[in-house]
Amino acid sequence: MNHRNTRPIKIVIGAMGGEGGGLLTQWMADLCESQNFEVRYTYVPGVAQRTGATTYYLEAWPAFSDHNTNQSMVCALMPCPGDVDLLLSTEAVEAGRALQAGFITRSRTTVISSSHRAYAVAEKIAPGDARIDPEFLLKTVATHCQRLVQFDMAACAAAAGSIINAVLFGAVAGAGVLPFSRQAFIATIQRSSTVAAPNLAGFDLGYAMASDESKDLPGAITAAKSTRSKPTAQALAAMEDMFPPDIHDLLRMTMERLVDYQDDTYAKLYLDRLQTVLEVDRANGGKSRDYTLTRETGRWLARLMTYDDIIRVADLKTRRQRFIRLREEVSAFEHQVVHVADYLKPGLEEFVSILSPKLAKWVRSFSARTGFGVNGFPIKIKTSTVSGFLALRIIAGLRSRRTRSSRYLKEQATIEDWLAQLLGAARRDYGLALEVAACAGLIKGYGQTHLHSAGRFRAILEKIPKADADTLRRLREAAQEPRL
Amino acid sequence: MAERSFSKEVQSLRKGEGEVFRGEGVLAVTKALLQSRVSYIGGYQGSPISHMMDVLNDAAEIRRELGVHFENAASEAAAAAMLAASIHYPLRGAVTWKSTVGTNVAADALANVASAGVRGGVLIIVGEDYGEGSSIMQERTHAFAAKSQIWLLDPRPDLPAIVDAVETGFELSEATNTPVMLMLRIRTCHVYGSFVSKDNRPGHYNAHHPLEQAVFDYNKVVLPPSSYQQEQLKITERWPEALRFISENKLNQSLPGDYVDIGIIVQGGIYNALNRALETLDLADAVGNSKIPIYVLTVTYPLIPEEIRTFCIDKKAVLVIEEGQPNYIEQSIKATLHGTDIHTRIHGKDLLPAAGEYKARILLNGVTEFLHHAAPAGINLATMKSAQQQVTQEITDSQTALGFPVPARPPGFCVGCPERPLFSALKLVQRELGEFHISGDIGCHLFSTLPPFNIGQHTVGYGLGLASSSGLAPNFAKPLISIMGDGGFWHNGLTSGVANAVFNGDNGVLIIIDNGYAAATGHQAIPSTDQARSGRSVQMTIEKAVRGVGARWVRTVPSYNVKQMVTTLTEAITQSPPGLKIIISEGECQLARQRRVKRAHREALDCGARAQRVRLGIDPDVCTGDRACIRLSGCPSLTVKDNPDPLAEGPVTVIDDQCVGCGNCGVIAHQAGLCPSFFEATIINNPSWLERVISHVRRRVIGTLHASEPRGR
Ligand code: SF4
Repeated sequence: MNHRNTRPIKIVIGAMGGEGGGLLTQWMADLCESQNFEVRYTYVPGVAQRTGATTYYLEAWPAFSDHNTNQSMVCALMPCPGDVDLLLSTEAVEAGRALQAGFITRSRTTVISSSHRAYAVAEKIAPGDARIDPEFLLKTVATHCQRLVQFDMAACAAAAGSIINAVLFGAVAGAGVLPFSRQAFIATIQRSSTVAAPNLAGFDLGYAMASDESKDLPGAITAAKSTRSKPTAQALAAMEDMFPPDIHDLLRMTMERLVDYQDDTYAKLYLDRLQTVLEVDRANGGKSRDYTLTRETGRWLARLMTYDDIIRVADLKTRRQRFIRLREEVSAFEHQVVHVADYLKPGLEEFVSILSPKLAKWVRSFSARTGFGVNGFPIKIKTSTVSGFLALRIIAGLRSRRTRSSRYLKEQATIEDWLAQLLGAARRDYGLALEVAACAGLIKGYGQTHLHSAGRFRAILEKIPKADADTLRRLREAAQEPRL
Repeated sequence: MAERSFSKEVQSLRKGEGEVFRGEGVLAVTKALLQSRVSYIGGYQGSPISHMMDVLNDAAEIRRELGVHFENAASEAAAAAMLAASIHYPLRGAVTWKSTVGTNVAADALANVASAGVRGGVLIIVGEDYGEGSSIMQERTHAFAAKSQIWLLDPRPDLPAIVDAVETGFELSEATNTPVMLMLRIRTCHVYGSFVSKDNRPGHYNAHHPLEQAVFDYNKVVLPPSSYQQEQLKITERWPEALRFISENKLNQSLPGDYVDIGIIVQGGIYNALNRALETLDLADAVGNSKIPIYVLTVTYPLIPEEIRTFCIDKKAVLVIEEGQPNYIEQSIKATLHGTDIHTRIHGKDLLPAAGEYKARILLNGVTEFLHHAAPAGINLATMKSAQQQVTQEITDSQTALGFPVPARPPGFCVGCPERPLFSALKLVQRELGEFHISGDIGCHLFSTLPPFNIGQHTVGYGLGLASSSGLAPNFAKPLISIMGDGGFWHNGLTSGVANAVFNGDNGVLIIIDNGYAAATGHQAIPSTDQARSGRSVQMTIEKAVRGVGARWVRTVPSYNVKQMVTTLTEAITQSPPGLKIIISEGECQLARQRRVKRAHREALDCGARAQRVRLGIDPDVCTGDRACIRLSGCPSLTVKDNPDPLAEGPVTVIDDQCVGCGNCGVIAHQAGLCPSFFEATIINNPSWLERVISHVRRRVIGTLHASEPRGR
């Protein structure tokens, strides 16, 4: 064979630390060696292979060199942009990273990548939704490589009980990009581990997905369908009479939420409030604006009216659905016993606020005198025990008295105030009214977080009469910066 | 036991004459040492040579048989000092560490050994932590070699070449009475390949055949007048002898090529990448047959003037490829040719970047530039250029296609890391008391400087966290907080930090992170490592050590107890008695712990015994999507998913399957008063009958209560 005309096969593996990219590299090396290829690989582990992105690089060459001559392959030790034949990636953004490094090019590179996402810290901590869409990413990759094989390998691995590398290894075999038989791949897995069975299952899935034997992803674990309380047909019909069809879908959702939170009467109150907005909206050309103001206000109003209090938390934490979902979420099987403990830290104010205004006043002054409960009550309540469950259930049961609590009165006053500002603004400037609506998003969280955010909200409400849409938006955005 | 076990791989260290050895670079170096009659080896862990320390530890039996002493030195200085063994006696020895940081620490001993000269061969193996994946300042080891006159080897990154460099390195060292340094880049340390073994050979003297006679020779003591004489010897004897040895044994290679009027001089370690660049230009093949003559420097210090002149004499232009700066080699080559009648144009940093790693693409550009400048006879530059342009265009297309940079994924604290709660506590304390100046140190804990913590204003060296506060503290209104890992503490922090601060009456707060290992480098044992886990006969405690050097205010706080940590920190910062206040933050490295726990869990499951695991979860309908939990704890297991609430915008937090159930995120939620969405689930496998009955009853009762739920919730 003529050395000059033989290129090594160049493979880059883009993985995340702790995922076992090294193992996949070893598999690839073992596979190539078993098929009489000479192999070099290397990697840059960084700080002892902690969580960062890691690149492995492998070159394989048909073995016709032997150790008696000085001439054996000269491995570059690092991928050269424009020169990579096969790029394997265990996650979508890692494929994007390889693209940006120039390791993926149209005339040369086959890319085999998982389509799932593991979010980077920057995506997780940014306010709002900063997640990068894997679909867009992989579409871009597709137009810049020779061939792209992609599917959700994490889901396959979970279904097979294997590591993700086994699925990816299977995909390499299934895609038929290396001149080796399926059997050769399987033999590699068998050689490497005593617990080969789950990895072989993962391999098979990967193989099937990549070779088009199957296009259906293994059924993802579907969340238990919620059986929330629903608004009555009558109430829904009334709503449909009152509001333009464009916003019926939204209102069905919000009404369901209000009924689930409190009751039918509360949902009625919601619709009544929104109707005043609709009228003003109509009077100010709302029709031509697709009733944006009514829609946006409807969204925020529903959230304001279903404010989070300990009744709500206790309610959510004791629902039947929750117990089912929870076992799924921690991957517990039926034969296993599961204990659940909830981390709660209600502040004194949260207890007090569900009392009647009179009682609330008394407790507050008691606390002010004695310092009782000023730091809140951090508790770890065992919700899976009968007593723990009952305790929460009793709090959840206070729902029927919610409308008599001091917190309720305060929240409603805030809402009325906000609505009044909103209506006033709508008469002046439609855009300003939309900004006022969005201010409702400032109110967030529980306990202290809630108190602070509500304070910021009220401070902004006061400025509305003199503000224009732009100023208000700036104020709102500044107030949105997270404190922690 | 270290993070990675090489117990299987070390068996290949037993391979004999003619057998093919397969493995990674550092393993090959270890094998080469055993083939080279070494009597002692020492070192200090650090990427990229950490695995070499692990391999040597795991190869205890083979070492014993060959009588090779191995020392996990307390620092690079201690390792380098071992080389004193070879000054008077015909003992071969090798030491290893991460460079340049380790070489900085070792420099004192190295300079002394180099001055005195050695009788037994000495090899200093440095892992050159430069370029991608490096965790230190970017510098070259070259300067150390030159200043102390230590020969520097930079072999081609192929196993046979590396093994050869080890073996000839010892010969060179003995022939010239000079220590030899072997430099291995990161990727070279980890390169997988093969070579043909030789038999292992024991040292002439070792534990089995100890030296009997002590030697006294004042000429070897580094004091006047010996020190003056030693400097003369370097120039009059050792240097010329080195030139002779290197050229006679052809340590550097001159590779022929068709285009004889140009040439390339390259460091051995870069040769492979250069070949790939030439291959891309169709100027070389995959096995290294090049059309351009290449002079490969296996020895980068000293250079051999005669060889350089011979290589350059009939060439109009030569490119010097030398990674890093300053460009010592290029300067030296220019000086060598200066004043001779050789008028070759020497290119180097004028065509290649002055700083930074020489990756394949950079070399490709540099070589292309060079060809245009040199215009060698016979190369059609125009066709070469257009072929290149097409590829370049494709690459640029790819690189710019996304239109935004993908988010960086730097290494960070692991799932369940015991250091994270400490930094959460610091964040909470700063929320109350304002920002502090916090001096960082070297170790995993330096990840605190990244989001979401952004804690730690500077770091100036291993174990120097506390010492680095002593200039600023007296000039700063608030007390300074210094961080130190247990690794850095034993490396030198006890003396340069704690003893220094006590002696000078410094004020401030020192947090020593005791996670039980040199964790960042792969869980090598340190003096305070639990005896049962280090397999050693001693365990020294940090608390006793600091009290021993006079520290009075010392508190040990379990790191996961955020509340206690916040209180203790606040106390240390605000309490009046001046002086050093030390908080030992204790929590075993979770990676190490999980290896044990998971094994035990698996074993229990295999034999059907009761086994429980704990993990945390988040109720998505309670979660506000605020993600303060992620910003405060930063556990990688905390991630995001779509909000189940269609009215809400932005994702909610979710805990994924990696969770090890340390409970920290729940504790933080408590401590910082975050949302009540966290829950802890204890999952019990093979529960006892009593547990089963109780659980059954509970589920029945709760089930009945659920049945009475209003409208089927
Ligand atoms: S309990 Fe929380 S902090 Fe600990 S490992 Fe699980 S998710 Fe991470």
